[in-house]
Amino acid sequence: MLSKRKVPKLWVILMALMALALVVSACAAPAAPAADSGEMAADAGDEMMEEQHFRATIPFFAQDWSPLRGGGWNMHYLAFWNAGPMYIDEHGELHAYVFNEWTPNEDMTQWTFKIDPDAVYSDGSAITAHDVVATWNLIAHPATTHQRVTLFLTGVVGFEDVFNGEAMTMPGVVALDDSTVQVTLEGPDPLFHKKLATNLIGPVKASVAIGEDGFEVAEWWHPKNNPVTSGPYMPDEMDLNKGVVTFVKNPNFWVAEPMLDRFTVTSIEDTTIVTTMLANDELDQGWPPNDATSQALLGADYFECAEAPGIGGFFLNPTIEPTNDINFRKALILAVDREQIFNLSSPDGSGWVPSGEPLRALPGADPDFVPHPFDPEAAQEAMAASGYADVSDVPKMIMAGVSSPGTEVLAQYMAEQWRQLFGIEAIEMSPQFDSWEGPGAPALFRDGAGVRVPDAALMLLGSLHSSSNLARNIMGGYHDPEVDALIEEAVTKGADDPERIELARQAQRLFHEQWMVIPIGTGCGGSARGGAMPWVHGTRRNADAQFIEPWKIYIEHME
Amino acid sequence: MGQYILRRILYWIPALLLLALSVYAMAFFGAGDPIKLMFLREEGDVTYDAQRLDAIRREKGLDRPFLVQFGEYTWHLVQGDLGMSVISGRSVNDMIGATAPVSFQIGLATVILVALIGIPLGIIAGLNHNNWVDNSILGSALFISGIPSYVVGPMLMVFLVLGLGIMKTTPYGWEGLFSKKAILPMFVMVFGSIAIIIRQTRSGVLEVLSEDYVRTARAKGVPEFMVIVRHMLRPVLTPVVTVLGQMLIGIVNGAIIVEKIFGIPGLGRLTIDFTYGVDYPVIVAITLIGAFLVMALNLLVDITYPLLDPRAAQAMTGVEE
Repeated sequence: MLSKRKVPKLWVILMALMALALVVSACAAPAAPAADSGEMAADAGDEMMEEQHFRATIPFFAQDWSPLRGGGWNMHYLAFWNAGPMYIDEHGELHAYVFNEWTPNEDMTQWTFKIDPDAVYSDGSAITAHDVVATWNLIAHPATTHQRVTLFLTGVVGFEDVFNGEAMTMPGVVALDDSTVQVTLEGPDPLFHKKLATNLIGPVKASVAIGEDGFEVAEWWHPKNNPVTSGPYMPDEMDLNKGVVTFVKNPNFWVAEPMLDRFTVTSIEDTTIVTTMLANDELDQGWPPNDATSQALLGADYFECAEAPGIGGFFLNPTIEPTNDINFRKALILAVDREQIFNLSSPDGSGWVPSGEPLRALPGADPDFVPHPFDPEAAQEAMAASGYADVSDVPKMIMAGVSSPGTEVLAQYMAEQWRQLFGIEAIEMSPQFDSWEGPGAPALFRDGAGVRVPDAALMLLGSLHSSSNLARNIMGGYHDPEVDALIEEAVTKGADDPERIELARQAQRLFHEQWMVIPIGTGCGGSARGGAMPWVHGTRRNADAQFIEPWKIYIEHME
Repeated sequence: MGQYILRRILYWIPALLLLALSVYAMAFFGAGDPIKLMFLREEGDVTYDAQRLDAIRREKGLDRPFLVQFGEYTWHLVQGDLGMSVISGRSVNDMIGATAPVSFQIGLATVILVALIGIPLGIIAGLNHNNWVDNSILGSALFISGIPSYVVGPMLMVFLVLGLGIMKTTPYGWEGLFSKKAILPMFVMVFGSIAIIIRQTRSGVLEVLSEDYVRTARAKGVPEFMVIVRHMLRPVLTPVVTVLGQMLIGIVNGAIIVEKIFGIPGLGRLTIDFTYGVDYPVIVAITLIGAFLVMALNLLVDITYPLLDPRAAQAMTGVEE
């Protein structure tokens, strides 16, 4: 029982406990704040020098910084700490990196790669052929959850078995000696070496990243585990709960001395904050929205866009009703004004009206390609010719991938066109969806396919061929044997063979005639400088949206 | 009293286990497939292949029956191990251990500030019932609380950093409760919740103003300040403490928007990111922490009641004074 005498004492104890809890919890040592990019730092001799600190941001809360995932926003910066076998520059030129020689056999079914004798990890040890083999086996295995491995290793002998978890090693990838990797393919592939020119499959040191069980060691990439990396920078501090990751110069980087001292990536999910921090010189690079506010604060020059290849839009699912009817698809596409789509996507008018040509901006783009026109009358005729002349027969359509305000505006615009022209009202817009198949499957899905190797045949192999993610999932299982055959033949032709491009163009034409996509976007592959502020120099990105030669990036504030 | 507290704590164990079972089952059967979502959330040319996804599920042990997975989870749970995140592969103990204290200190600081500011304002509003002081306090509080935190947060940041230049750096990130970066999120948190306390206190004051003991005290010539402190405050505070307790639970568990806007590494940010991915070890852990907090704070509120109202002590212990 609480007596009157004891009440004040207990009251005081409770209050004291609350205060104590607050003070104790608040006294957790905070991390040191990030220095400014132009901060003056004292060196050992007390001389002042400008620290080269590059501060970047990603719009997602990244928790996994393994270079073996092949996806995620943080992979935009993978080039900073992970060296790829080779790399392709912004002009499509191939450059040596970890591999400095590559030789195919006569029928292009076997490739031999030599590792640069100078190539070493951040601990000074040599990058070996055994590391390359182990890394590729690891990323092929499902336990590693690499999200794009098929783009690079499909066709390697034994890949399918490892890919499905039925084997641990690919007989088609072997280390001939410490510095020679030999890859055997199931069929000829004249551009196999170019597929490997990406940081997404860069070798990791097997003894550090792979456990005795053959699987990836948990969080081996975290600084607390003393990771070993191969890129120009190496992880120094990671506070994954705060979303702040810092890299420092790799002292053993063999290509050149990196120009930055530090590189920090912070997860900032609110785009207004990103714009504010860029405008206030607190960030050097980011991904702010290209809207009126950001343009006013950062200047229109910041958003100057670079034309990028690739196709993006609302893809129609030819395997479910009502979009399995080609006339229905044709009606939907003819009812949408691409000029308006562009105006809605690009308030400042920068960029290009989307054409829907998969080979756009690539060597092999078709000069005779005619985009589908905006023609309401023809649209109504097509609808009348479809199995849905009576609008009440049109089942509900799910438009999926409507995951941003900008995309929602476009989706709403299209839905309104269809409502006015055809009377279609049963449209559900959703950022997510339940399944690629069955009743919950989207009739229209907003997505796209980028370009990793600037080659027409490979672009179509990764987008229109029935084995691609775009065909299998986004387009609900799109499969045209004729298109497949043309692409399959094209990829076996030599890189300089004109037939390679001609076959790709034929495949593109067939696809175009099937009315499969409502193109959206502006053709801009991000800002020309990779979202960097004017005082950041040397930021270049390739068609794969990877930073090229990040060791050349430096900060210089102009007077 | 000690027995009462012990009995209450013992009730927590089956309640938490039942909750874990319910949440695990809901996440397992209803919320979606974390492996599928891991690939679906990635745009562009990802390797989305049904056979591959099955293989990943198999590798991670997610293809086993529900009871086997839940049994394993519970076994680890009773040993204090909250498991590993399906998506990030990180230890959930580490994640919760790093984020819960931040949320807790923000919640506690908010509640203390709300109480320190809101209760006096509520009393002043109540004592000035229906005149301009009352209207100003209540009107301002409702106006400020009416602006959603996702509007006021970014707006204040842009205004104070770029507009007025009062803040040299954007208060993004977390450097501790006593750092400058905490001022703006605390402001948004406090003024987003303060109207409830002002209204609650004000209505309590209006209720006790007409009570006989208040009139008697005033008639006896007791100074007004003493009337408020000694005679009015206790009955007014009883319901306010309940609301403050609920507020603390809400803030600790769900300051999602403020944490996301200001980059605060708390439970709210963790909740939203891992719920989207249906990472059920994380979801269950966060729910359990939240439930534990609800129970603990309810107990604390129950313990506090007797301090404010002796009749509550009597009811709690079952002993007549």
